Amino acid sequence: MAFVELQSPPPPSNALAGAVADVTALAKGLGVTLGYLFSKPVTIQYPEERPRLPARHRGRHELERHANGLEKCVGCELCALACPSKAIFVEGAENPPDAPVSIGERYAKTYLVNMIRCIFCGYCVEACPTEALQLKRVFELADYTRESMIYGKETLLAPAPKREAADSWLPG
Amino acid sequence: MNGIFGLDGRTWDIILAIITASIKAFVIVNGLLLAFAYMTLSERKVLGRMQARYGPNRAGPWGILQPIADGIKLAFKEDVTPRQANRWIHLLAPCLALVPALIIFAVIPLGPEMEVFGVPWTWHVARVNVAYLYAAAIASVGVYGIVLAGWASNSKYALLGGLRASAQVISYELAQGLAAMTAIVMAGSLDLYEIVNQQVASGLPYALYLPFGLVAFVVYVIAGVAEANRAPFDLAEAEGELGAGFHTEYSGFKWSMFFMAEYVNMINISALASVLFLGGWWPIPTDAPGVVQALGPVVFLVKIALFMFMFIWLRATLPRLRFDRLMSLGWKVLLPVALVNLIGTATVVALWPLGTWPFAN
Amino acid sequence: MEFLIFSAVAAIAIAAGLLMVLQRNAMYSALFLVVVFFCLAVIYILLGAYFLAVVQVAVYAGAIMVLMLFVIMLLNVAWPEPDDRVLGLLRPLGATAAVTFAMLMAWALAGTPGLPSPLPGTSLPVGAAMTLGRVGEAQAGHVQEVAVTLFSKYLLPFELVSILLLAAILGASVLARKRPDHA
Repeated sequence: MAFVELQSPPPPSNALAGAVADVTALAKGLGVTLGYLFSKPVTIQYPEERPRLPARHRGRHELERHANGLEKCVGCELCALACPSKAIFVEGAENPPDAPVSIGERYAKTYLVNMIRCIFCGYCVEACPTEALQLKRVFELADYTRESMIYGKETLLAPAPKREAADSWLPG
Repeated sequence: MNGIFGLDGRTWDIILAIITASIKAFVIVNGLLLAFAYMTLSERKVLGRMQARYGPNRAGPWGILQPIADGIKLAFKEDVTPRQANRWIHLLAPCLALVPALIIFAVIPLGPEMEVFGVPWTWHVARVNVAYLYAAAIASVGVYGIVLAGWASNSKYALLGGLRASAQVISYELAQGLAAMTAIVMAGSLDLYEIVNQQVASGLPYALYLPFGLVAFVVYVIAGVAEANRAPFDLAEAEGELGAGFHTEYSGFKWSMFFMAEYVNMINISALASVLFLGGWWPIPTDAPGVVQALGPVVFLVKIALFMFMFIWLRATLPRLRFDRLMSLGWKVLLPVALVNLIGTATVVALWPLGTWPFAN
Repeated sequence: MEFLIFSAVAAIAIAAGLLMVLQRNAMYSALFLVVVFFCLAVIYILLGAYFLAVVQVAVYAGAIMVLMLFVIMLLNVAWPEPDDRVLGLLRPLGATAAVTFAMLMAWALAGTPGLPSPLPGTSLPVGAAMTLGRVGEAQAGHVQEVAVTLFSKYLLPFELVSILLLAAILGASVLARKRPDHA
């Protein structure tokens, strides 16, 4: 068995050199903190100052629409199956031909996301065959009751009328 | 004033003394507590900036109402006394920590003795000829607060924290006292006024008398940081090991009294260091009496503020020492250095008369 | 004024002293002893002996009693009921010591001429003089006086006490040292 001797830094040649080295190190450390005193803080003053989110930030879900206003979601429930925390509930229904909701044969009659359970992993988005489901950049999801944290279609469907004003700062 | 209300001059003098002393004491105690409050704010802000963040800035413009908010919060917090604690000593301990811290300032001269429109005016509550010893003695009484808090809480964390803190304070008192003795030997007096006057007369603050003055100053400051139980010597509050140390079992107003004591002690140490080594109220480039009298207290407060900044700066920079290293630093480095330094100073003072120092230039 | 302060402080000192002796709890006893020390310091100040007062606080209250508290804290002694045989021996001894001490004090006081005015420079009481900044010149040399007396007239006792203390420190270090052969 070969043992590797851990090398500690070479001891200073004499006490004076050691003391000088110590004081230098101390001054260096103090210089760093003093430098930061005059640097600009990295803090984002949140409510007034908005964070710059990365382009692929995973925030609240959104159910997309086609350009003609029809929903992309066809009620296949693959997102609910993919969800590791069982946060999604989808109830599909036959798409009425005279007044279609989606472009497919079926549409999502009920679409619920429990935002308390959601872990924002994005598996639902990957599972979606029609690219109907997206995780958008809305992140201010706090609320006062458990019930209000279960988002239905009225919230999730794009454009979300309730949240439009609040989202207006978002690019795109 | 003789004969008014049938009282003689001596009685009037006594009444005058009581009134002026009471007013000054009132102003100083409230000033110290106000300084404490804003010290907490400036500490949080400076620490914040040193860590690239802002610190409190929400309560009022630039956060200047934060101490008031904190004070209200602390005053209304539940004051818990553990069931197994010794109730009376648990109550006594924070008082014993805070009161000595506050009364030390009685002997600290904020400015020179002077006459304002022909009336003598002094910037102190009491001029005592053993002022430094008074401050040191009262500071050593402050240890009771820590020891008793640790004991009365009936908690192992508090007990160990109290033991650590008091062992530390007692150890560093020696080095601090010896370093202060250097300045006292140079001035030939324990009177803080006299110490400042001697520095003004010699034209150089004692910290600049090389090498002894500077060494004593450095030792004094290091020991002072340890005395105040501040980082990097805040072993008593090593939260990773001991909870909050001796005040683990304290909350609400009693806790805030310990907090006040810590900060007021920092102010005291800063004030004493300024007086002993940096010429107190003396604006160093000039000693014209008019300037000294006009600017004295301001200069003194600026010096205190610089020391307070140093306390924060050290806290932002240095990691905490291990307890055995803290003790060996105190006993094996600072104490011998201070002792040798004092002997050297005494030798030089004995060989050369005061004011004709060979090193003073 | 001085008399009022003196009476109050003396009364507190006596009360605290009695409480110290009568307390069962060692911690309370120690604290009452600290109160006595403070009262003594106040009396020294009334006599104009600042140096003595400050040293009283620094040494007795600030250092020695803190060590006593350490001992009480660390040992956390549960005091046993005193043994009757020991008490029977101690009681007469204690009483004799107390009476002897009281007689000695009375004898010493009877021989003392009237105390000098505490502050030569002024007729004011000490506290008022300090506040008004009228501490006389004679007062400034007080520490010097103590030092000169200590290092000339009482040099031999002073050095003897130093040696005694040094011996005690060395003894304590030897006792506390870990012996490598026993560890």
